[in-house]
Amino acid sequence: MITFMDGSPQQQSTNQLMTGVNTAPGDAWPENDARFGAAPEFAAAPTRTLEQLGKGEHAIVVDIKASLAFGSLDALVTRRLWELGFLPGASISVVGFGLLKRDPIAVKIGGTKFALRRAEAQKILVKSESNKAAQ
Amino acid sequence: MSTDALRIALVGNPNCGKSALFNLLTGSRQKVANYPGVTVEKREGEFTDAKQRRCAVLDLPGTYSLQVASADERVTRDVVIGGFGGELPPDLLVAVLDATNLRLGLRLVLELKAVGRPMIVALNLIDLARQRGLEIDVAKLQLGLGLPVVETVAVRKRGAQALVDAIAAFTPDASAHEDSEKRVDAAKISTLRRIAVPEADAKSIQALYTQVEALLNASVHKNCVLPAWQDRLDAVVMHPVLGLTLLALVLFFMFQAVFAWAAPLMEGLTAGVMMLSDLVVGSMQEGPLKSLLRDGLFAGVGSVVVFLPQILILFAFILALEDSGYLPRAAFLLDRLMLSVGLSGRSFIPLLSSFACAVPGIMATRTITNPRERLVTIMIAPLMTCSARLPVYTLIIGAMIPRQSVFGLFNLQGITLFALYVAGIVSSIVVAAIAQRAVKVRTAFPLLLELPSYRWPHPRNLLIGLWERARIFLRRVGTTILVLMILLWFLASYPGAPAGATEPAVYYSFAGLIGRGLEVLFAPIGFGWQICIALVPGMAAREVAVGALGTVYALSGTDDQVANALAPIIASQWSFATSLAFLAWFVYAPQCLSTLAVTQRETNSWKMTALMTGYLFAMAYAAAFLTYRITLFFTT
Repeated sequence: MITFMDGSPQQQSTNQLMTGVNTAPGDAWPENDARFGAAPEFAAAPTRTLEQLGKGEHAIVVDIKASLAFGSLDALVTRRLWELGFLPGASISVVGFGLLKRDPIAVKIGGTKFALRRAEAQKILVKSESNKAAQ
Repeated sequence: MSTDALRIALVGNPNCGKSALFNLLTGSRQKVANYPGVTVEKREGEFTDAKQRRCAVLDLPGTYSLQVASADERVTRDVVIGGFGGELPPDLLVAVLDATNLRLGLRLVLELKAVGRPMIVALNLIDLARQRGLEIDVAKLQLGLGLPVVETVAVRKRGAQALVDAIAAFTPDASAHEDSEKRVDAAKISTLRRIAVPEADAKSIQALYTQVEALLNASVHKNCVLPAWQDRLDAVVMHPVLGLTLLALVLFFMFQAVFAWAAPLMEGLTAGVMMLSDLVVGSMQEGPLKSLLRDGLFAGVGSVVVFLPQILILFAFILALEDSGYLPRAAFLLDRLMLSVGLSGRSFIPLLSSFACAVPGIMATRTITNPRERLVTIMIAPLMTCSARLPVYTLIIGAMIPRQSVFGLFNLQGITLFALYVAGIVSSIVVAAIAQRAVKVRTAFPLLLELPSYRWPHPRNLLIGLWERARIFLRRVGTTILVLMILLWFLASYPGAPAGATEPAVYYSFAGLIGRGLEVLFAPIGFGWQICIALVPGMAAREVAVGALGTVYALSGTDDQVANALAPIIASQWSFATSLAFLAWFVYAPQCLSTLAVTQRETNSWKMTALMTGYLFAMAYAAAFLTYRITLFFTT
């Protein structure tokens, strides 16, 4: 289930970073555009961002990308996400959403539940789980 | 803290049960202060180990990482590495791990290990983890980490015995001890800090996690499984509609309980104070001393002490909700709503604490990472109806609002109280919305809130927490409030009434002079000189206003009136409009020096403190003015 329609027109107006990533899964990574950073390891697999997952859906973290939403704090946010276990290969599932605009998002990762905002979830690239999660 | 005590610091993730372990180790022998220069709460305690050595324990703020993102995480890092306020690093670190969540905790342990200080690892909540299916070979974990690992159960009576034994077995390096005689060299510390905390990147974090996985693979045979009921509970608690309904019910029940459950206790306390007063002053001769004891001490201080039950009930709820893991869920539910006024779910906990008292509430804002959000939260915290306002509300509502039931279900008095709470909250939303416009740039800041698994709150932790609050409150009563009450008694008693006076004696006193001076300013909002006098000592603490009214009326009336409670006096002497205006004034109640002092310390800005004082006074005056005029219009 790919839910790109969900929210993407909004994102394009609010967050220019989303353009290009959302056009189609598996598109060429914009290597020459510095804003996007390095191409994710799993560029071939359909990649989505965490906030595009539905409730109860499981996925694997692929990478964390830079975002303009956090300004100069972006590196700190990325590092904190890594430290909390949002590392490539980690299994993640969506526990629930807040009242409005599916924000914030509650996720379960490594046996711990966290609440994230959409802006943070948009930084987290995920792919569908190929087989059942180890944990 | 003397030099011969072993200095131990507890460090660990938030929610790892660290404070419960601290409570178990030190019992009630703890003190709460602030770290110098910052207003991060410093919890210290002591115990004596098997070798009769004194151990001074420091409970550091919880952190996920030594790469700091907030003020209290910075304190933890600086204490661990050393050089905080010129102090040496602790002799021994105790890294507290949540055994039900080893991955996150072990990562921090490895980071701490890199700092190179002596360390013991405590596997806390091990009973809960085993209950959830964890099978762990502690010896292998110990081998893998190269650090002593002990099991602790912070909620069991002798649950920290293994840790106490391990601490007793530890002897600090003699050379390190000698080093402690010298002063810490700032340059050395800053170098150490750079070495100890290397700039992290994905690779180094991944490498640390790889080590964690290796450790877990070697020692854990079977992982913890979160019981299914936890997920089912979350499906309700975190449901957008059901969850918010539940939250509203929880808060409503909480405030009802504060009002209803405290009543018999408060009546008991009042009766006790009166009995004590009669016992002490009964046989005394009429004179200044008797007046001081009866009217200044027992009537004044007694009127404040009776609010202890309400404060304790409110804190009991907040502590229980915090311990159970519910508060972060409430923050999750409210995040989007709070975002609409530029705040986040993180502001919820400080603001909720402000319902008990704005001082700990403002101090709790240190967990808010975004400085702007923190500032706005501090600014609106005094608008949350603190427990010190309850005495005032209780008094006026009890005196003026009929005890009439509405729809056979609610009570008009209860509804009035609820409306006052709502008025504060609505005002805070308005102020936050304006503040958000004022600080133009708005960078969204991550929420990244851990939602810990549900646990039963433990009675010992609740009791220690309540004991701490009661002690702080009673100390304030015994010092600031006592002094103010005596000062007020003096101001209200001297100089005495001239011969042939027509007004009550207090009218001619110093207090009466000040009150009559202020009356010019407050007459448009319906406050007489008695209220004006009460507002002056109310600067120290809001609840003092009640005691002050007691003193003013006790001294200004006949002996019969002294014997009676304050409520009937107010009911007979105040107009309905004045009473409502007085309530409206206290929704904003700018006159609390402790709040202003903590704001100055937290923001480190006199400008912000002045701004807060100014806007609170302006709102209080405007609200009281409108309430008074509108009520007058309808009642006359």
